[in-house]
Amino acid sequence: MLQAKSPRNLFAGLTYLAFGSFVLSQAWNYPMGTLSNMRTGYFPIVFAVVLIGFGLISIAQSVFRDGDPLGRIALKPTLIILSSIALFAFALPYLGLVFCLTLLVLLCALASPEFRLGRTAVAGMFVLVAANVIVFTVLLNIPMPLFGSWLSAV
Amino acid sequence: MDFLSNLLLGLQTSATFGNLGACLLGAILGTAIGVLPGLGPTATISILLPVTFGMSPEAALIMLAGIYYGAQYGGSTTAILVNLPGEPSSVVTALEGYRLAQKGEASRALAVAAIGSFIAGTVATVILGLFSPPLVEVAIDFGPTEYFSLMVLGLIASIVLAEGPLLHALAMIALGITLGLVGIDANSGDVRLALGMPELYDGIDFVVVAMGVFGISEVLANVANEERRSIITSSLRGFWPDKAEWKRIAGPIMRGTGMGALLGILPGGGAMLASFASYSVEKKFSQGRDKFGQGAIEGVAGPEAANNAASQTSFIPLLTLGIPSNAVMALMVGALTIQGIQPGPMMMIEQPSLFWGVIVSMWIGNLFLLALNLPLVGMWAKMITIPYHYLYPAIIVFCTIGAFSLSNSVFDIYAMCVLGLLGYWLRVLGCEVAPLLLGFILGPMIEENFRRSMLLSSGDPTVFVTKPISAGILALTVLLLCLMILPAVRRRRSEAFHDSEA
Repeated sequence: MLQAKSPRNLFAGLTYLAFGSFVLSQAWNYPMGTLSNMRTGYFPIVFAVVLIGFGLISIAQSVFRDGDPLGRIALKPTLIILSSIALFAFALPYLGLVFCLTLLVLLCALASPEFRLGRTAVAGMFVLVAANVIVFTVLLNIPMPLFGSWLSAV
Repeated sequence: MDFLSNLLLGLQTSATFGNLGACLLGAILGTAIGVLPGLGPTATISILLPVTFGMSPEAALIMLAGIYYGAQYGGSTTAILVNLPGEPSSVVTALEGYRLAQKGEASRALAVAAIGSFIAGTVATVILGLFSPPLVEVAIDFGPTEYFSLMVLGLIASIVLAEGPLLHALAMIALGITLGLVGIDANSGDVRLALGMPELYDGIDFVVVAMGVFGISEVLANVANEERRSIITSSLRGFWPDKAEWKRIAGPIMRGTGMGALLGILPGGGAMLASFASYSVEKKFSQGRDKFGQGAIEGVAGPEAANNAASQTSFIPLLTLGIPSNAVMALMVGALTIQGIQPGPMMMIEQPSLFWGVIVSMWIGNLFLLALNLPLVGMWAKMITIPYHYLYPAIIVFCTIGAFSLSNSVFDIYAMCVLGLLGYWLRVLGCEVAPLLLGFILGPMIEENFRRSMLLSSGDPTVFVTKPISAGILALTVLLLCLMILPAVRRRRSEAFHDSEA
């Protein structure tokens, strides 16, 4: 089994390859045109091919050249933070800004191994939510549901 | 005299109550983020872009500019007090500055850093005012061919200082360009790469990309490895330099300003390169060169002047040609576009009050920063110790609401998440993400200029080398590429980066 001497290059190469192939699959059907009359597909196809090329070179390098291992992946905080943002986006129309913001702050803070639920944390949360509501809805006048469809009905 | 009347116009624009407030806000925010852990000007400006919607173009640009050069001031504070440079450009300041702090002379170092930066900022503002108009005159005649070559130069030059192998930096640019191609193609009206989602017909929103790739992904990278910061708590008083000291720092400041002003203009040059260059020069030639390594004040004065001068002159390509020379300038392009202003040589002619207002505001901003940094240094020092886990929920909240506020759609929030994940993955891979943003912004512009060039030349690609200006620019680009491949330069680059980790 071929051992990759440079995991970083391997995964980077795979990423470029995946991206480039994906773009190529989408842009395949666009008309390319000629150099003097470039059409929709020219640039996307060219750059997709370039990316695939980079990917292949990188993978080849990973086999023949020593390199760095992958950086550390902090899986838990990443998943927690990204899903809390997604949850915010999902719940905003139903639960409204105030509630969703509080939830977002709380969940995000939990992602850090350093977090302790104490007086400063709770106070900070209030200040943050209040400040954001004021800045974005009052000062900048952005229409956002403050309490959402579920809570308003109550 | 034209120069004076332009300055007057700038003064009138920037001295209004609102714009002064924007300038002060930018200075304060800039210093704060230079000091705070895990937050830099790129991320902050990205996060504040939605906020600039409601501001006038002058106020928006003045504030964002203030954040950028303000961060250079704040970054030196952490470099000197904690040996943790707040900005890449403060890396060399930490070398001598921290030594001085350890010897109990922190306030001396801080004062010299601030004064050097102020003098450099003043000179740089004058340079901006004097050299922009002639540059605009030349640039007005630029056609799509010249613009194409300039943009290519900008992209390649931006990766000169990128960490990691050349291949990956180039791949980042290619990735950014491909992301920029999503949406309706202006020429044909066809929808490209939108995966059947109508929200993507207008392309991925630039602010979403900026916030996801810089804001969110940086949080993801920092959350799990918070650093404990303890600062040198020696007394911070009695700081104005005496006569003997002025003699020592005058030279480095002048040299640093000159180097910084020059290097800042080059695309991809910028504050970090300038500060490194100044450090090397001072180490070899200055009066106190024997003291380097044990706390030489010249090693603080020169680089600080250089990085501030460079951060201001790096606005020149943006204001005169409309081409961003680094990631922050790319964000400025975005901010201008949000305001409906097309950056380019016409901007000086069509929006003179904006143009000159921004330039004069830089000097005012430097004044504010001098006032903020010297007396209030104790307060900034306290801020250094704010734990990151109090800070990052705020960052996330700002990004999330900001993303929503762009078009009142939760789709943008989801898109930001995806881009945040992508940005994080790229960081794990050891790739630098700034070239991606540049590629994203310049991609569609490059395509348009290339297309027009080809149309004008009836499909003859040699036009890029037959037209003199374009040929010159491309030659410079090739030179840069070759330089980066040469082993000697490769060694220098990695040396420079490993020095910074020492």
